[in-house]
Amino acid sequence: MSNGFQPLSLNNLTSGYLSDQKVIDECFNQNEQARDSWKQLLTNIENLGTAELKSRQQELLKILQENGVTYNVYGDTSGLNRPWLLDAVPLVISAAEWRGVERGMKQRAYVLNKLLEDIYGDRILLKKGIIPPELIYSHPGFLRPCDKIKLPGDYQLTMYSADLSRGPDGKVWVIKDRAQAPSGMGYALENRSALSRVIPELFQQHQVAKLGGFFSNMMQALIQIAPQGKEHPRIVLLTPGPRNETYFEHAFLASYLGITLVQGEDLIMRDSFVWIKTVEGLEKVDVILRRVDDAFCDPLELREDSQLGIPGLLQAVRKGNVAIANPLGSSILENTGLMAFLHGAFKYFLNEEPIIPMIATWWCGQKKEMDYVLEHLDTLVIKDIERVSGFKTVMGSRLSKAQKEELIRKIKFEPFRYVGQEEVEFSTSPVFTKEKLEPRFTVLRSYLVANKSGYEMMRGGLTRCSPERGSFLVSNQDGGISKDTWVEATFTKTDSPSVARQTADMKRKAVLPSRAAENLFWVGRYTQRVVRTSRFIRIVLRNLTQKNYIQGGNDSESLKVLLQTVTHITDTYPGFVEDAEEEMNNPLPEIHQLICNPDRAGSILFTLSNLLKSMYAARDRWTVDSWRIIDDIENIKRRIAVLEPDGIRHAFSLLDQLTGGLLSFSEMTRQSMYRSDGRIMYRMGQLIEEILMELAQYKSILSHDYEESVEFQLLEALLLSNQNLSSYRSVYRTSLNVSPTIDLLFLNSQNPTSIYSQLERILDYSRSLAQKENGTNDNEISRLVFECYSQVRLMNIDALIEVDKETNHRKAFDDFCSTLQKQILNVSAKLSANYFSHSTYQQQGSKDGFQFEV
Amino acid sequence: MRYKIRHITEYRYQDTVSTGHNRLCLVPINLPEQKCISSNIKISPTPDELTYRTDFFGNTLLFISIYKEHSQLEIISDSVIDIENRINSDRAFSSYVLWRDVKEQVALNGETYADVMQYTLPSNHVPYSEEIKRFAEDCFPEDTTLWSGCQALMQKIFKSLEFKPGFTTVNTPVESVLKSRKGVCQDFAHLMIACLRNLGLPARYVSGYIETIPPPGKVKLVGSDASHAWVAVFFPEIGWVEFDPTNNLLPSYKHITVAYGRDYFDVAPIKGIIFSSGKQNIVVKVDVNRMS
Repeated sequence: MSNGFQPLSLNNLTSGYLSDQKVIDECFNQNEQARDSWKQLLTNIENLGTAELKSRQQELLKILQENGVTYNVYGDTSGLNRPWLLDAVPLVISAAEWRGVERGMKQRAYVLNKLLEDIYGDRILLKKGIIPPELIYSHPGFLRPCDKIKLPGDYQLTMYSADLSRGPDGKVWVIKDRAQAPSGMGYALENRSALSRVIPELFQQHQVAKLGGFFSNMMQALIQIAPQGKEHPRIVLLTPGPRNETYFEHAFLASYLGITLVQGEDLIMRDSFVWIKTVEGLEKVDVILRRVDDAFCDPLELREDSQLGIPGLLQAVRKGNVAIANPLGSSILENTGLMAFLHGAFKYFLNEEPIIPMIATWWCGQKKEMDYVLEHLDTLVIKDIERVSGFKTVMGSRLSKAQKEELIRKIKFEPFRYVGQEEVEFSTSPVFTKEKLEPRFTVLRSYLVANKSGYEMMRGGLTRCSPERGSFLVSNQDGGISKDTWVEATFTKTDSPSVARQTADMKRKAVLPSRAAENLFWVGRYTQRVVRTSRFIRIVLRNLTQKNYIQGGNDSESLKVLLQTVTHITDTYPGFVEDAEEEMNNPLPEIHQLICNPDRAGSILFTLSNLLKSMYAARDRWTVDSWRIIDDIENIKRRIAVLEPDGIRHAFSLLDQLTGGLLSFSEMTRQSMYRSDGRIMYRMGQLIEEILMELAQYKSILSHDYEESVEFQLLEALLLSNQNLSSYRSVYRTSLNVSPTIDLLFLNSQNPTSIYSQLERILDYSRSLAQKENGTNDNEISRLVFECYSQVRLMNIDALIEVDKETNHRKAFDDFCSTLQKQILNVSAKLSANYFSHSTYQQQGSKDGFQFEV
Repeated sequence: MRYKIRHITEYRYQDTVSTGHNRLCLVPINLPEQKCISSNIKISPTPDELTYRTDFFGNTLLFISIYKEHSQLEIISDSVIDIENRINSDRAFSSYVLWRDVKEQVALNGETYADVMQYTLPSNHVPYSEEIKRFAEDCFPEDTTLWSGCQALMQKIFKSLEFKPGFTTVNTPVESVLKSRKGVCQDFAHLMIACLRNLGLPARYVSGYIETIPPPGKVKLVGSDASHAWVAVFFPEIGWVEFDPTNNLLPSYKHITVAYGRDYFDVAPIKGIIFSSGKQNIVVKVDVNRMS
């Protein structure tokens, strides 16, 4: 620190940094001298060296990807998610500056909270003309059914967030307010944890304020709004689901805070309470941390077309039986037009001026202001007062003459919908790119939460920078880069990040929402389907490639049976089964399809995509280590997808890697989900799929009698693919034969993959489900499983393998397998019906056919 | 005048409904010229939950939830109403306020009229539209009074639109109604409200019933009356003045008001969510009868 920072020009990392710079930079002053608060960081970076920083930057992105940190982009067809970008260089904010920002933000939160209370209360500000009534009444965020609803306690605005930037005058400005379901705090936390893990050297000699305290404040705030002052309320995080842009964050926050992640369909309103549907029945919900936009939360009283909400929710809210943070209706505060009138609100509620200035805003709903906007289009940004509307924010200066005329027409037609805002020049901060630091426009999202004693602010936040030099776009939707945010800590406060976990749901029994149960069940099923299919296809592939060298006549007979079995187990008829002369003569194209065609139901790639989707939907259930494996699997999937037909020999190693990955995933899951309901569902899915896949193989291969050498090859392939060949040899000590094979595969209780052993385990699981349900070992599912179990137990192998002399068909065995398959499928269907039932709903009086009454 | 009203709604469901939540807007509102003597709503199957509340606009809503399986739902709303002639129409008739001054007068009296402002803005069924504005403009010459403008507009809509049940649905946009020139009372009302709001005038939707008189010599048929909709326009210093564009008349003692709102969406007699995926069938019968 003492060795003083070198002038910029001497340093490769920063050469040319401030050329063309017109705005303030956070790190360097006009004389290209580093500001005091940044000096230590720059020294740390310098000590690390450019080459090292570059490799750490890559490691940083890798670790974020492995942890599954993503941001979904709407309309992006390339996949569900986009990797999260984090810059190696944090944004540093001095303690002195932060004190001012914190004071200003607390003041602002206070005023917005009062304003929200007034808008849904007496509307005095509207009556006094401090806020024009039209500005509120024309905004879709003003939800009339929410009028007069109040949260218990002093605060209506539980959480508040604002985007901050430094203007040309050097002051920090408020750019926009986020007041209904502010996103990004989870990313901020993940950024900090990744940066401190990958580049701990940056933190040397720094006192960086910790973030954990904020989250325990947040949990406290949620507990405080619980109905009837409940001490240990059940809190859930309501997400729109895996397709939402910040789904990663929803899952991350839910597991970090120790609360349950739910979607609308997991919850129901009944008897004026909200309940979560779990595997064990209904459980009462007290507090909902909401990440669904308010208008979508109750199709009965708000948007009728929403499938994301809970019909009747507002009824439960009105009766005070459930609290929602932020309350429904708070999106009115995101009305851009309010910026033009908040000075009046500050004065009315506090008799103070805002400590932090906000962007100059003109609301066109007033004649004088509209005229101003129309006259100054060239210097203004035009926005809709509603954030999520069809109108895209435009900069007047970038419009053609025709576009401008069109805009003027629109504004004059519905003036109350638009505001003009000053085009602000943000400050820049250094982003490490192409082995250099480059200045990028920077915006800080800050977070506050209402506690008993007032608002508490996260000492940090989510910093975002424009992806390109000179660009003002900093939103995640447009591919912005994020930064860790360092607020210089002046004293070491008792910040314990683990408080959040202790105060949360830990004192309550964890529940498994039925939708999560379903996802886990399917993760189990798809995992085994991929593993089993891969193994079998791999063996067939090997036989196929060997065939070129050994020109034996019997090979083709056994190959034919194996290929047909591939069609049976993948359920991809006609495939090799009917009229398949061409496929039989040249089987590789079809095999290639069954591995690599993403659109062919039953192919490995197809099942793998479904598996990944289910994994993603249940993502709050996986540990970081499991995510790393999921990321590997994702990579293997990409490589399988580009496999060319003539490169099919590469399939061997890819399929090996795939099964290897899935087995370690299973192992990891087995350990981390020890003894939970989730594990039961996952394991039942695995076992059911195993049995189904095995039965399909056995039925296809063992239902006919073949000549000895063919039979030998078939049994060998079968036992190999089921990894039973060596145990066969050690147990039966005979050459391969049908009767002992069936004994091993069906009945042997020492063999963990025998049908008998697996049914025994399903029986255990179904009994423990019955226990939770009704306290006995007995329910519909356990009875069904027991039926299968006893049939297998009592099977008479000698009778079953009797062969029809004419057709060589083992009809009894064939039928036995078919019956068992049907019964197992029935078990699966009953599980779905009893534990995963999703209710679909519709509007009373189907609208399109419904005429107005006359 | 005292009326007895029976409003029956029956839903039949193809698939069983496991749970149903409904919001009923069937209890007639109390007004200076109208008094709701009694309101009795019978529901079958019996709801497991039943809650009355006053909504944002001052209407009485009834929320009902049914948690048992059912394949039909019957709602019978019986009300008794005392009604007098509307005096606002007479006062409006002699009002000299010019239509172009209305918006300013409302804005200037923010303290009292803050709520009125919302009825100048677009809402679910009432968009801002240049076509609609053009349609309305010739009824409102520069120096005409609000009263004559509204009269002219009501007549124009009455003459331009054909009353034709079955042509439109709840989701037909008012712009298409203007194109096809066919519709029912809700369409007439929405079009008139849209015209007024596009000119900056506060107008709201009235949901209610109208007494129908059978043709001379015929007996009135049971269930032949109808739920009805019309329009109220805000006159500064007078208040809300009603117009019925479907019948081209000023509502008097034959129009029974149930509720007010920005449009149909706010005051639909019954709306709900049912947990079921099958088709459904609805039958509505209304009887409005004079007592004594």
